[in-house]
Amino acid sequence: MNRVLLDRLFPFVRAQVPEQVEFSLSEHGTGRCFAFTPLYGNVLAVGLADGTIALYDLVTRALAKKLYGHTSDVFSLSFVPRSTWLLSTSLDGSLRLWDVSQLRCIVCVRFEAQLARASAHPRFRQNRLCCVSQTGQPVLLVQLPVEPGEYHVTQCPSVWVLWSGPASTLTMSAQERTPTETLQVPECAHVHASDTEDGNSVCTRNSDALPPVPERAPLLRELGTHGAVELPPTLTGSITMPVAYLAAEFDPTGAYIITHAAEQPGLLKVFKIERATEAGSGPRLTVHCSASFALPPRAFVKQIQFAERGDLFLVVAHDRIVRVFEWKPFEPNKVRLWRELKDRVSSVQWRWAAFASHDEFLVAGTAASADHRLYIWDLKANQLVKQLDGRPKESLSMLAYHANLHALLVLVYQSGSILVYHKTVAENWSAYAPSFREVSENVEYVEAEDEFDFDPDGSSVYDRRRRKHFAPADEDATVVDITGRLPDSDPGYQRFAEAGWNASSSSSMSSSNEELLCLPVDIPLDLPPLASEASWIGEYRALRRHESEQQSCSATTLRQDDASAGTSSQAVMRTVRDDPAGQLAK
Amino acid sequence: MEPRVFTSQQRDLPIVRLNNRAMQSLRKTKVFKNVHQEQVCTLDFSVDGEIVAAGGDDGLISVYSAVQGRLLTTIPVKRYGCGVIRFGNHKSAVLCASKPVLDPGSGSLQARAPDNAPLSWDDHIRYLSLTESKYIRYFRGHRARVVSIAVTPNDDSFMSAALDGTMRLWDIRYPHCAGVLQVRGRPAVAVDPSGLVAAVAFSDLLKLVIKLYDLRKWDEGPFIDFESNVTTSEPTVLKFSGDGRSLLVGAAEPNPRIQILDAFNGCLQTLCRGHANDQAYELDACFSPDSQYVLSGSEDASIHIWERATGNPCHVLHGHSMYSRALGFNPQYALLVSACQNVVFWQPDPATLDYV
Repeated sequence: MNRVLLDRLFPFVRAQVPEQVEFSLSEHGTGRCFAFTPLYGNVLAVGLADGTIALYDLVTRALAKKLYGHTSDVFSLSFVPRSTWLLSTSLDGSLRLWDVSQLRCIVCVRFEAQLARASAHPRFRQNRLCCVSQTGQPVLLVQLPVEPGEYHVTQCPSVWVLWSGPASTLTMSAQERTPTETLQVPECAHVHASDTEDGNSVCTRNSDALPPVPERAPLLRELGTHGAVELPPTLTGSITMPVAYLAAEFDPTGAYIITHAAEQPGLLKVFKIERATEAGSGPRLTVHCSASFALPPRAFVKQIQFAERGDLFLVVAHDRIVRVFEWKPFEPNKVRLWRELKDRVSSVQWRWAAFASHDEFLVAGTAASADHRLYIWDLKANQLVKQLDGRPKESLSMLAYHANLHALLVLVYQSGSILVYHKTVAENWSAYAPSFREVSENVEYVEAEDEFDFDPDGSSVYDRRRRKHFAPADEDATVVDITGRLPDSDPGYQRFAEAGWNASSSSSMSSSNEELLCLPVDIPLDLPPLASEASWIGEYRALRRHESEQQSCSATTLRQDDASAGTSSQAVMRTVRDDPAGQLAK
Repeated sequence: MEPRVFTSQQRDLPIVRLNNRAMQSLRKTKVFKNVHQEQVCTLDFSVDGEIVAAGGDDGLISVYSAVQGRLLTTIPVKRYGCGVIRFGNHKSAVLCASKPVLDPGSGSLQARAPDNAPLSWDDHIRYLSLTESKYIRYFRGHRARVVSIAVTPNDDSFMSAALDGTMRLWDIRYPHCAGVLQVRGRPAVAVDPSGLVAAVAFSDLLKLVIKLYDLRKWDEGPFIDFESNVTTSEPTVLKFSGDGRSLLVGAAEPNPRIQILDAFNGCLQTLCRGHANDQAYELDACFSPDSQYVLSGSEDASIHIWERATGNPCHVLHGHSMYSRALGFNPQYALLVSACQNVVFWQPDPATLDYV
């Protein structure tokens, strides 16, 4: 969710937690993933198993449109901040950039591996950078082409492999293992690895001319060919990563990428994207590892996610703890663990977690397949607020929280059904009519014998009898003070007065012990009446309307009118309201 | 000159009107020395004007009877300090926001400044009972120092603003916050005397932005917003006048100006200037209860008084030994309370007052 545009509206957001399933979106296909539109967030994009992307309107809860393009399961969806662009990855190995407002695919990039997730740079519209995590392979930072069309990954203007170990370990680990999956970057790609001062390296490819797309050419041969990384000649060109979980996320400034280093489970690395100017080639981006910090050993990271405000991020790892870190922009070394959230009774594995409701809460879903639950913590108070039961015998795939609609939580299950949780809204009818009484069951109404008997003068016998019956109860009713002010006879205040007086009698700080005489000030009270609904805000609005109608009449003239006429501004506004044609301003 | 002290006990007091002569005749009638060991940073009156509470950098809250001019009690809050004190609608309890306590010996912050804070540090707002010296309720939520609290006069809700750029709306009976608003920078909040409108001020690219919310429909966004043309740094003081027509905005800046804005359309009514603040202290400012005068502390240990309608300086009060960061005019009585390290009660000469 992108909060920037929503923040322009400056709404207060209710801090609420969802309570119950409100509706389910499963009739249009098997869901795999979803995302909210950043613009006002009233559209939910759902990636389906048949490769289409369904756009749901959350207000009407109906299917609005479908996007066709992928040929296989859509794995991840993420919206580009501040826009209607959508990045989607699919099982067919392609990454697509959509313009949801125009319902068209702008760019399609084909990869040679299975794509797990793509996330867009905060300034994607300027630099077209996105972070692509691939199953079992290192994370790529890809710059997408500007021109619409279909591309192979090698035709992208720039591709960086976020590999933070020494360049040799990249190759050695490849050599030791049986090649199962391959990372293919084809021939003619200019790949070079540069060692940074801390011994880490980043492989970069930056091609000036677009090379022809080869069929399936391995990366490592390329590394060897161009001499940046020494490779043993026996290597056949496959690379296998020891882990299947890889997560990468841009920080909100766009200057850093936090990623889980594949070569060392439990080690999070921060890559810095810098703009460097080289002689002759103009500005170009360089990526290097600037910090790293460790989780407990062997904790594979499943998910990294930043909070809306960008000063926190969460890490879901395999060790049954959801960790929340404090992140200071441009100070990657000052990452500090802030919260560790876990089930203290029975430690459970977490599948997915999300910040909720302006980072007030954190929602995490358990990974158990049979009986999974949702936990909601209050982050500020560091306590568990609520546990929600998920749908039985289904296992959670992902969840997200809508920041702006009140307490809306969306879950997608591995079976493909999508549930929307919502806050229970109890309709309180007796607030509208105090005599209204709600009954739990239907009650048969028994008519009183004299209910429709009338005296000769027209008054109802039944009413009179009822009134007599209820009268004594009214007298006994205690008077409830609804103003909330304590009377002077309040025992608390009396005690305060006594205790305070005695305590201070021995103090020596006052200049004299004589009492003051304070004279009450006459306060001219011409405030608008509190009770009348017509009063103040209505007049504000009337004035606002008037101002928009009378653009030529500046506010200063209005004020001068006010001063010269010697009337209050409120009187002016009353006149404005009585005189909508704006005669006054003329 | 011996300050004149009034010693009547009669309850049916005459009602007076303030005027220029009365403001010029303000004199010290009570001085409370040695109560606070450090500067007083905040003070507030109860709604009926009978109690005044002052909180100092030394982590002490002192409570005075404003009508009788006596120190009632002192309450140490050394662990969390007090940055802001506001009375709710009950005069036996105050809302109190935490602030790092100054170490009296060295003058430096004790080792609980938020940066290297131990885990026990928090920026909660606490509801402190003055009669029993204990916390009634904790309002947890802010993640940085709370700098502004405004209580609505007709129900038990209040708003708070903190340095992390969030504003929160609370009900005093319920420890969890009802609503959150996020802005950039340091916000300030105020609630108008009718209790219907909440004002939120912050500085966006050196422009003062004020947004007004309908407190009955606060989740629908502001119903009006103004931008001021006067460039200002981040606002530290935001107050409604007693008649609800004006907004007072003050900022901690070296060239201090107090802007009085029309609360209906955001026009600049008057600009009060002439006081000094070269070190950019967070000086306090307030209206008189009849909304005719504007008062503010100054860096040169004086207190400046302006006429609200014209912005003309009315009087300058001397007598403090240090600059006054906290001052307030009693909302009901003709009494000005200001504080540097000492708490001083000022009263006008009764001969100069107009009697109603």
